[in-house]
Amino acid sequence: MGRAPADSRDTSTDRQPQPLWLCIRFPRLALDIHPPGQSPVRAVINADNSVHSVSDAARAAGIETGMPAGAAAALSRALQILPRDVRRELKALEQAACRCCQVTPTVSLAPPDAVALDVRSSLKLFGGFAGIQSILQAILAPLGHDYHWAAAPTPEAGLLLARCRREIKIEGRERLRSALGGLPLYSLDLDANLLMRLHKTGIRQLRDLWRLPRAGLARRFGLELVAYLDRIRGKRPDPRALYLPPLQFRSQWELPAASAEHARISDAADKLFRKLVRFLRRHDAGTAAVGVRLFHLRSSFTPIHVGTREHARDAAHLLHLFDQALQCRTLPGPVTGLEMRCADIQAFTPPCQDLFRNTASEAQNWQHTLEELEARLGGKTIRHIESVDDHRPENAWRYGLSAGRKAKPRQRPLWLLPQPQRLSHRDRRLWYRGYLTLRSGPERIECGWWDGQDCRRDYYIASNPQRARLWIFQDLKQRSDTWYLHGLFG
Amino acid sequence: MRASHRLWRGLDPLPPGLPTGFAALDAALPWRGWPAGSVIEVITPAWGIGELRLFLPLMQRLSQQGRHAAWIAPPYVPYAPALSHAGISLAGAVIIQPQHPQQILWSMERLLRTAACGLAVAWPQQLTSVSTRRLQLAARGGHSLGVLYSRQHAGPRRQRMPITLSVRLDAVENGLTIELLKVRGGCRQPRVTVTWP
Repeated sequence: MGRAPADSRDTSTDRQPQPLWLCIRFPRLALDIHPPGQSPVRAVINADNSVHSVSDAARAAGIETGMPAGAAAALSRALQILPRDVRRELKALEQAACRCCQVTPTVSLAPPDAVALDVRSSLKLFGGFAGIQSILQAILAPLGHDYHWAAAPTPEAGLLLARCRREIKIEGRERLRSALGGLPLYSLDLDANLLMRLHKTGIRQLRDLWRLPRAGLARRFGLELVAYLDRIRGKRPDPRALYLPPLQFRSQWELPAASAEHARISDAADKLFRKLVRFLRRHDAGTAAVGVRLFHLRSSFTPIHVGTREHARDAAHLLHLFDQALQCRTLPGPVTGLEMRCADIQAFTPPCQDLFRNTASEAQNWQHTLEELEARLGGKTIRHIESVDDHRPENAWRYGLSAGRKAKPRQRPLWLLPQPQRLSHRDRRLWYRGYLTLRSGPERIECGWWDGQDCRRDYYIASNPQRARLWIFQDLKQRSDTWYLHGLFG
Repeated sequence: MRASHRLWRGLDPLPPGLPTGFAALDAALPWRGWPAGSVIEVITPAWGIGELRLFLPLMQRLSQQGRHAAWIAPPYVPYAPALSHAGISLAGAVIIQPQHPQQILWSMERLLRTAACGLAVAWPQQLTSVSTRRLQLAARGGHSLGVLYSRQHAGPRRQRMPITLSVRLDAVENGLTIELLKVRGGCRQPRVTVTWP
């Protein structure tokens, strides 16, 4: 069934060179993505509480992959258990793949922990296989992951060898059969049940599998196994999705003459924004952040950031935001040219249209207004607040992306002071712009002992001669009679 | 006759206002509530006497209608649990802390002009009659309400502001006295007292 040459055919003629898949496996990717902790004894556990990968120190302590987390914790007191984070693993893998694109455009991800690259067409450029290896070593070193490599004419064979840590290069499909023969059965990327069944029939190495008749294998163990073995030996085509590095847009525009006039700069930016939007439309994408650099005569540049709250591709709106940001800048000198860079490119979802009410455009209108304010006033001036379920008043809110959860109904002041303000005493009475009288309370708030921000306070509502209602508390952690003002009922 | 511009009438039929949530105040104001599409000045002797509580029923109503409320340069951070306790959607509230004082009025004007924004509350450091007029026009365009808070100033009244409603607050036991300093369209009584529910 294979399009690829069969075993018997002699391929020394090399009419069509076979691919050479260099597979790189990062055996400790799941561990490496976690920041280093205090203890060198570390283990990453799966969602089902079994150990996924272990550090060297943990291995020395007797912890092995596959054992339950409880058993692992019993073996070492210093064990640091980390949850597995598949998304971050994939991200780290994509980062590695992105770097590998420097060697060859044919890069394919093999999750969870490997990448496969076809380096056949790059061999001459980099001076042979050794050259590619040294370049890859230099490229991957900054990432700090350990890796094993293996090269084979098929990606599955390469991955299999890399998994077995055999760092060898195999040229020619006809040599795969003998080269892979010594590998253990359990290194195959197959279902554990299927492997168990194969093991029970006395198969220990791949060599044993090669000897069995195809038809019988397919009948007893399913077509899946036969197809996998065929892919390993290149008897069946194995198309792989190529990894495409994230889109980037970069374009420049020279002004005909250096100018500090906003209209001129804006005109040039308009052309670049139109170009950007054409680029985004072509890729069915939108952007939420565009960086523009205004170059001046003396080699320096002014950066201008244009940010939107949702991914968009409206040239007029982007230009409007750019103008707003430009207006509140003072340029150090005339501008000779512009450069636009955009790396934050994501799939574009157009706003939903409502049949009856025009709510979508109203919401968009509001977003556009906020974006304009942001462009003019700068990044962190516009914020939302949300409440958090916590008894401690200062932890019961945070800045964030408006989730709007409801807190428990208690009487709370509309103004909360950023820091509790120490109240003074006069004639043994509390004083804040006048003598204070307690109106209601106390409300005991005592919590946070679990996260080191211990808080034991009695809250009262007090009023002063100006009839301002104040939210004050007595700190019970301190011995003497210490009172603080924490809020105002605005 | 009524459609003719040449006929002068003493009092224009005023547009209906936004209910304040306090019956005494509604009765005293000619719009039967806060005047929609305009700017209000609120003078208060101190923060914390109930100057925000006066607007909570309005905020709650606007939040139910899905209109947004903007807080511009507030002296403190609005406390999220208190707002959600009052039935105000936090998703609709946006806090803006401009770095320069002149940006306060610019932001407010921009927000008032947006139809999605129902209420813009600002604590400006100074007001001029030109900027107030701009705000007034923006509020009319966006059919929104602008509230300008200021601390009570000593000495004589400053220049007259082209403002629809100007009130001075004073705290009383369990309530507020609202002195109506200026009411465009005629004032029925100079002073109203509201009590907290």
